[in-house]
Amino acid sequence: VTLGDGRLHDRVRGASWPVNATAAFVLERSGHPLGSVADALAVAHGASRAQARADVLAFVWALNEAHLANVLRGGRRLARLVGFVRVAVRLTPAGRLPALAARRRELDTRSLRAAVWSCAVACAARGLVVACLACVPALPLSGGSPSLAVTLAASTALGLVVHEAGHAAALLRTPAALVTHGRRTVVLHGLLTSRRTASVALAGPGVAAAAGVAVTAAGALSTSLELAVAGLPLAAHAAGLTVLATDGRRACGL
Amino acid sequence: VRALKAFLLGAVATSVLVYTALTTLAVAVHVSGGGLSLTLGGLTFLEARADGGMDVLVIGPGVVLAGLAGGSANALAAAITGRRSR
Repeated sequence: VTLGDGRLHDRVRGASWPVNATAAFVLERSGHPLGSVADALAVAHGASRAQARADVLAFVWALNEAHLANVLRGGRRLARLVGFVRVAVRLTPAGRLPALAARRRELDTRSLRAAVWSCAVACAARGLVVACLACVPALPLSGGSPSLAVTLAASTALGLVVHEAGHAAALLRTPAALVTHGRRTVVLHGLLTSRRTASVALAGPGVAAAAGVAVTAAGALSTSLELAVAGLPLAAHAAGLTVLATDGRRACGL
Repeated sequence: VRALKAFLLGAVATSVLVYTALTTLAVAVHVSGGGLSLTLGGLTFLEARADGGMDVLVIGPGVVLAGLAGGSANALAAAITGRRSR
């Protein structure tokens, strides 16, 4: 995403939006702490610091919501996690979670290998979180067997990576980015022909489901329960081919 | 075309899900040393048994029927979704 000629250009989506002088002022200072940007804005426009901070925060959150800017929080990860849990507990009576920032990572789609690798790297942190979270239901589901639980959790995380890598591979030589926002993981791309849109949508769940069938079949041939179980979370991505999922609806042109 | 596409995708998805679930179940039964036969109205879904020192795993025509049912359900859901979005 770049700023030029008074417009904000998104290379991946192939779109641009006009920006006013204040927005350009903030965007030109991307990479700087938001507090210092707000202070500079207050000085430049003769506004109060509180008003400038509120305006900058609202603008940056709107950009983040539109997947046009990343908001990186300072401090240690553990401290951030503790802070998140603290706010989440306070918001419990309202039945809401603290606002989660979207994170956009560019994908290198110049070659198949680069597309798969860049997607795997972009998904790695998310995959680790998914694996840790999957351990919770995996342990009782596996009848208390740690090896089966770890297999299920690892396969669940692998499923996420394979699914998104499938989308990235189908977007060969097309600008793309991986966006993680709360529970959602999305591969962002520009407008494509209806046929290409369908093939990109099918590639994610299709590749993951095919991998699931292959792993389960290998488990049956070698009578390895771990291998057979490992295929289940991967094969579950087949549900993404139906109209219950966004990919399935997109593939059907809905 | 949309209905056919939805039917095919639904059939593939259901077949994959049923096949992997049944195969994993068969391997689990085999590992525990037992045998298993899953039939519905005479239609075999899965049969796992030891036959003369050989392990026999039969994924029956029930999987195909489940796929057809899943495909029909998906085509119906696609038609309803398409009508609502118009």
